Amino acid sequence: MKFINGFTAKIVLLFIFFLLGCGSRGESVNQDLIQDLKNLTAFDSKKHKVVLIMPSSGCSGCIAAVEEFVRDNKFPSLFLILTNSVSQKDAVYRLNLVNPLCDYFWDSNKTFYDSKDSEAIYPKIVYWNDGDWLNSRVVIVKPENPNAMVELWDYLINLKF
Amino acid sequence: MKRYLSIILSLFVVLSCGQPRVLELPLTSERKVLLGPQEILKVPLDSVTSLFNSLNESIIINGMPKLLIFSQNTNRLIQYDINSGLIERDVLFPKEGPDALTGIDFSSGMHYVNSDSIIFMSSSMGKIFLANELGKVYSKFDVLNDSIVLGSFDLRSQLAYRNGSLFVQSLPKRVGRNKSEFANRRLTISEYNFKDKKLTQHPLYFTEVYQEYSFSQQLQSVGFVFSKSLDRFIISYPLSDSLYLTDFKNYYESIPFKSNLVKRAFEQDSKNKEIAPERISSYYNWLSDAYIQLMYDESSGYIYRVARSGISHEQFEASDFYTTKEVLVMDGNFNVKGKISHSGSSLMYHFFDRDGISWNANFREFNMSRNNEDTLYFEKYEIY
Repeated sequence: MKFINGFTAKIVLLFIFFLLGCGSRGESVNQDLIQDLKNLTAFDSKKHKVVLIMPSSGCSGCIAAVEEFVRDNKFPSLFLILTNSVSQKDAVYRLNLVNPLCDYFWDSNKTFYDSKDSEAIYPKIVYWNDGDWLNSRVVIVKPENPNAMVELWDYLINLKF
Repeated sequence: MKRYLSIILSLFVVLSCGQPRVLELPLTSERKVLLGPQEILKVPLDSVTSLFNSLNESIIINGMPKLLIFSQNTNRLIQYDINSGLIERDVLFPKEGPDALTGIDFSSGMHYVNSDSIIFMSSSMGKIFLANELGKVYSKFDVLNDSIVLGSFDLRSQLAYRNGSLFVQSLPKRVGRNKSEFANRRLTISEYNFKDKKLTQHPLYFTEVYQEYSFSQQLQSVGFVFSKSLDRFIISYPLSDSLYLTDFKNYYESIPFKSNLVKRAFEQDSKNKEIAPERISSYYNWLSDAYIQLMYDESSGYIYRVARSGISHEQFEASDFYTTKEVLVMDGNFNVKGKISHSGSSLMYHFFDRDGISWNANFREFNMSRNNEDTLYFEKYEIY
C-alpha cells in the first residue's frame, strides 16, 4: 500500500510537472516577446497600442491574411514588426509601406523570431497594456483562431472613434 | 542460440523495412581548383524592382551579351546591356487585360527565343504565353490537364525551345488521385508543340535512382538545356553523378561529371514528427547533397554544373540555408576543366560573355549587410 501511495504520488507529481512545463513554454515565449518589445527603441508605448509581428514565411494562409489586412489598414496606433524576412525592399513594396501611416520595424536580427517556438510560423498580435505591460495580451493568428483579425480591426477602429 | 540469432535478425529485417534510406554516392579524384573572381561587376536596379528575380536569362543580341529580368513585383521585363550595365529596355506588362501575364509565380518559367518570341509559362494556371519585346502577348495556350502539371518543384522551371516546341519538366498531379496511378512513374519532360497544340511526355528512362528511392520533390527537379550546336538536350539530375545527352527519341549518352560534395541523399520520411508536414519536403531536400543547377554557354559550348552539400538539422531550424557549394566546369568537348568554389549564397543570376561566366555575388555580404537592395553585384570568372 505504501509502495502504491509513493508510486501514485510520483505519477501525479510527474503529471503536474508536465502540465506546468507545457504551459510555461508558451508563457515564457510571450514574456520574452513583451520584454523585447519594451526594450525596442522604435516602439512607442504611448502611441502604439497594438503590435503586429509578421514573419514572411510559415503559415502561408495566415501570413497572406495579415498582409492583406496591413495593405488596407494603416492605423497610427498599429506598430508592425517585419521579421524572418530576407528582403526589406520586397516587404515594403508588398505591404505598401513606402510612405506608411503606421510605423514599422525591420527586424534584421530576428529578435522577434524564435525558431524553437513552434508558433513562430504564425503572425502574432500584442495588445499592449501600458499600465501593466507584463500582462499585455498576445494573440496568435492561426487557423484555430479565425476571429483574430476581425477582433484586431474592431479594437483599432474603437481606438479611433 | 542460432534460433535466437535468426529471430533477432528477422526482427531487424522486418523493422528496417519501410524505413527511409540513405543514398550513398562514391567519391572521385579531386578536381583542379580554378581561379577566384577576377572582377566585380555592378548592375543597378530601380527603387521597386526586387533584388531577387528568379525569372532571368542570359541572352545574346547582335553578338552582345544581355541580361533579361522579369520583375514579378512590378510585372516588368527589363533588359540590361552587360558591357555598360545600363537598362536598354523596360517594358510593363499590365496586370489585367489581353497583355496580362497571369499566374507568374512559384515554378513559373521564362525563355527568350528571339525579340518576337519570349515564352512565359505559369505552372499554377497551366498557361503558356507568347510575348514580344514590346510587351504584347500575342498568343496564349491552355495546358491544364488532369494528370500532369507543367513545371518542376522549384522557384523557377527551366524551359527549352526546339523547332516550334517548348520543353519543360512535368510532374504527376497528386491531389484527388489514387497513389497507385503514379507509383511506378518516371521523371518526365513534356513537349508542347505550338503548331498542333499537342502535349507529348518524354519519360526519362535513365533515372533508376528515382524509381528505387522516394526523394523529396525538390530533389526531383531536373536541370536541362538545349544545345543548338549539338542538337541535343543536356540533362542534370540532382542525384546523378553524370550528365545526360539526349534527343528524347532514341539517343542518349551519359557523361560523368561528379562533385565530391555530393555524397549522400536522404529519402523523405513523411512520418517524421519533428518537422511540420508542410516543411517535410523542403527539410529532406536541404539535408541532402545535390546537384542544383545547370548552366550552358551556347557560344563556347562550356557546361557549368552547381553542386552543394546538405545542411544540418540545426541550420534548417534556424533558416540558415548557406551551404558549401562549388561549380564544376566542362568544355565543349566534354573535358572537365576543374571547379570553382562558391560563397554558398543563392545562385540566382548568371550571364556569359566572351571571357567566361559571371554570377551574382554573395547577397548577404554585398547587399544585406550593406542594406543595399538596389544593386546587383556579379563575380566575373575568366574561363576561356
